[in-house]
Amino acid sequence: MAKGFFTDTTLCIGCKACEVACKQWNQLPADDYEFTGMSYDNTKALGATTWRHVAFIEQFDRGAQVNGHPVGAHAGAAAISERVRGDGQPLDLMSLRSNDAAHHPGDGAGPAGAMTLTRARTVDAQTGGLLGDHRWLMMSDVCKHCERAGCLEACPTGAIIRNEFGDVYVQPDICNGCSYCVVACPFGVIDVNPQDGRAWKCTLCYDRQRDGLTPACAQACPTQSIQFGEVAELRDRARARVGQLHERGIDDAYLYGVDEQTSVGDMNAFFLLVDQPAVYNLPERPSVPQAQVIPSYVATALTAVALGLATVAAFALRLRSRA
Amino acid sequence: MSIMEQYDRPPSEVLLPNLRPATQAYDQMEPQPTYYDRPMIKPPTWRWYIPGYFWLGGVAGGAATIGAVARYLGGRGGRETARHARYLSLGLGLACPALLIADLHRPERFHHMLRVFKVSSPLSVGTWILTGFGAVSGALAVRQAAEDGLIIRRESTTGRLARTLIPEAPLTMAHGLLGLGLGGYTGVLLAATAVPLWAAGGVLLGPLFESTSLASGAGALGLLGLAFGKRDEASERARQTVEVVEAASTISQVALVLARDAAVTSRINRPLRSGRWGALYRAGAVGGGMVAPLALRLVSRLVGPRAARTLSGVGAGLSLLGALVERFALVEAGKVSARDPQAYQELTAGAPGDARPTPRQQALNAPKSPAHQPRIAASDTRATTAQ
Repeated sequence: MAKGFFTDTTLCIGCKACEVACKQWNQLPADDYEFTGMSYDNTKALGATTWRHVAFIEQFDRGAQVNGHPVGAHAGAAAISERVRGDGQPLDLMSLRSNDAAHHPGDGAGPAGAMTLTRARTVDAQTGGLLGDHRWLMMSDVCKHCERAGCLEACPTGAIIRNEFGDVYVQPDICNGCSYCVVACPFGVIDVNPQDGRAWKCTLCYDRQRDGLTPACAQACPTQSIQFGEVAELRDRARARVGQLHERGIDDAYLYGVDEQTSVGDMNAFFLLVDQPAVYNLPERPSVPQAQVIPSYVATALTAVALGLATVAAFALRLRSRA
Repeated sequence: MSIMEQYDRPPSEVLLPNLRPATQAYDQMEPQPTYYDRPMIKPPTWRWYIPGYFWLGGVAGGAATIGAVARYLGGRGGRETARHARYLSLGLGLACPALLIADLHRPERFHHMLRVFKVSSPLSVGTWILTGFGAVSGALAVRQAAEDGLIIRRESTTGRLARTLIPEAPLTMAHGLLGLGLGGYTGVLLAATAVPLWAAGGVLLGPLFESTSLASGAGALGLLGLAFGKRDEASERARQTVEVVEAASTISQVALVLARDAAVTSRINRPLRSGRWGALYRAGAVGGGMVAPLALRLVSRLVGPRAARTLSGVGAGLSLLGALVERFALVEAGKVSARDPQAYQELTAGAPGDARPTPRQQALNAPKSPAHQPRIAASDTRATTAQ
């Protein structure tokens, strides 16, 4: 029975206790102290020494547009609202924009490439957002422990395995730092630590699990945003949670990593999100890079045969022409 | 720009620095939301050793294949071509693993590559191809040296043993086949990644690398033929046949480059269309390494034999250098595209409901049982703790 995480982003308060607990338990070194200035997120991304990363999405002026298109973090809310409410009451951004048109007479028809920002403060009444016109989304990101894991399939040393808990684990005594897994991950999770030259990522606290303990991040999470357990049970719980949120009017809530129809498949660490995946820096439709392997082998072999035969023909015909 | 200056700008500008007019005019796609424009995947960490290896491995593989065919179908001149190919692939067969091991972050563990064979990992398949290629190249070079009386004297015990114990025909055959594998697998290796520039139209990358391998291998053999070959008719004929192979491979290269450009959408292919690597790729790899050698071949038909030899040498050299530029430009442009979240989103785009049920569908399918309501209690996360 596979063990995994259910990360419910609607419960996350962005305290980063998971990041700290992960670093502490796994004895991961500190990263740099760069101040990003972009949000409260100074961790920036998952990496070789960061196995939990809390993303902060600050959505001010939701419904802002550039040249008539919803933009940036704002676009997510608009797009998904349109998606959700497509049959009922579509989000009418155009009418909102036309209210502003008097102030931007050249909007849309102005000089090519000119950027016009239209603010729509009343948009929230229609999107049914969480916190008025502005909202913060927080999400504790982690290795997804994919059903079909790109890193595992790419690893040429067999260092990356699926362990007895159904999770993807890098054996540090085998990894030789070839870095092929780094480019094979569709989520940009695994990375090589230049200090010790090996690839690292979330182990789903393999050592703690072996001793019957809950992984450090789930143990530390004060709001149960991170829940650990049997994946099958977690999925049931998560599906019920989606229903509960929709009942409460949060129409954008959905699960990412459950009932996936992609080549990556379901994920042992999955998420409940309320905006489109790109807003959280997740791909809309991830695919496992190894889906390309067989067609590529075939195409390359066909080319090799064709050029090989051309070489044979060139020499054979030349030989004959001399005789 | 300082952090304070960033705060003074409207959030849309801070969040979307890529939406400047110049870039917007470049391609007309709708901007997708990003997470502060941060990369969605990790860029490759490979250093120059890897594109360097792609180049040398391709040259070795292409030369070995042409040499194997020349050995049995090329007459006396062909045997000379095969000799050059064997010595070349021995030298490069030693350099290639050295480059690959140098790029490992734990080079002392290189032999861990030989623990497993995984078809799903082109790197693993390539490791075994290169290992086999190196072994065969070594054996054939020893035999060739014994035949040539180079270092090993022909009639010495070692020379006789080398000539009787090393079976030439099966090994030459294997050399040619492994050479084809060595030339092409590197393209598959790049295609089977999440890097947008390599993954998009990735099925063409293996064929392109295979063609480049043969063109550059032919270029190397052409230069060796000009430098060390005899000036008699048989050798000239073999050298000119190698040139025919080079031209055929180059035409295949050009076709694949055009097909790839047509297949890969603008945003993903941007690093190869503009910028430093784009210029290098267009002017160096395609212009200098493919179009120019073909043009020189046409010109050389109009001039005398002495000038034709010079043009042959220039063309062969350009093929060889063009392959080097192609490998570096493709690898480096891939690094650029990996840092572009818009490119990765283009690669992974999907309509709502494509990848997973829409929020509405998920809500409709949600179990209603109150037993599934999450319990917000600290004891819950400790449920599995050992008593």
